[in-house]
Amino acid sequence: MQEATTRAIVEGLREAGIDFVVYMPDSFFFETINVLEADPDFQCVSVPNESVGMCLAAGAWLGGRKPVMLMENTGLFVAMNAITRFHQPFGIPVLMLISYRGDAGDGWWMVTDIGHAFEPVLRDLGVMYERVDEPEKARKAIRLMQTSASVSEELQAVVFRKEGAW
Amino acid sequence: MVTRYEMLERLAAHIGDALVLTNLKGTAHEWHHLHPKDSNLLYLGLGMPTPAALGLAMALPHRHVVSLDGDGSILLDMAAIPTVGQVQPKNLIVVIFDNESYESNGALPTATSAGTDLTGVARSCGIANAITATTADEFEAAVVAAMTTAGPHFITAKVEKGTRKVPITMTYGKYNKYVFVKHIEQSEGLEILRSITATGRGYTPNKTYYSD
Repeated sequence: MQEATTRAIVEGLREAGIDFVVYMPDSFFFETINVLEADPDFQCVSVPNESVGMCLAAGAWLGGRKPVMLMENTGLFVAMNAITRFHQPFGIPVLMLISYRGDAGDGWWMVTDIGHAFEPVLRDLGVMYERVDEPEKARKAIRLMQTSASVSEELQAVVFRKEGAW
Repeated sequence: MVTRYEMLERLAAHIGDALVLTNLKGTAHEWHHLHPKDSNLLYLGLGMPTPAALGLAMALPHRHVVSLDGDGSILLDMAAIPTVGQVQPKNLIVVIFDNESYESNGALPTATSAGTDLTGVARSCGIANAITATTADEFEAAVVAAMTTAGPHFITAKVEKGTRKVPITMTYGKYNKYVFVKHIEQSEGLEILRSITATGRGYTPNKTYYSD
């Protein structure tokens, strides 16, 4: 990932009041995760899958924290059961930062189909999202989506596109 | 073999002001009947109570948080167990009511009926305080230990199949959430919900409250 994108994400999370970071390690966010882990403003926890991560983040929100979940878009599909059976029917807001595998220009054949399905699934779930395709957009997108999450008590996402943000 | 209801009766006697998250159906109905408090968040789906309780325990590390989970539920996503072992929350108590079946939808057997040992799994994931209780007395002793010593604690409660025919009082998840979070706000002195959406006078609110 571009160093500028990492800086924008970290500052965006700080400005949005995020204080609890849940992450499933992935090839896009790993540098950002290292920065967040070293920053005392954020309590970070690694999870073995995104369903556990989203539930853990929901629990943290119930206890007064402002959580974010960092994951690859493949993880959205892993977390689908929790999203539709827990976050949505209970109205639990969790900001999701999602890397867009299978986006235009992604050279890894295995993620092409995830790329096709990803945005239609987000829309079908009713998850509002902003797409980031250059580093400086990340900061504002995170702040805006966290505001929307807080007001709506719904899931919101910031999607990091291959072109520009990686 | 003992019933889940008998074990929940023992738990209710020691629960104090702990926050309790439960899985679906029988466990939720029996627990809410025995302990109808605002500190309950009921009816979480399979695989969800324990990781959600872990997040809550991390957010409120000074307060006991209890996950009332089931064998079918934790088997759906066992990844919750090593996550508890990794975080080592001192205030988390995980109770797995293991009736060796998916009772709520026909009682077909789970893997624990063929020997899967959830307590063994918990121990191998670094949860040292993991115990299997097969009687109400063993369960009560495990609960007392969990409420009085540092965790995480993991209790596999072996129970017979069946749910007590208690009156069922269910609410929508969102209503339960508001009651639960309001309870946490009041008991912890926190503001979690955005109860104020605008301030000002007359028609136009103060914009700082509704713009980003």
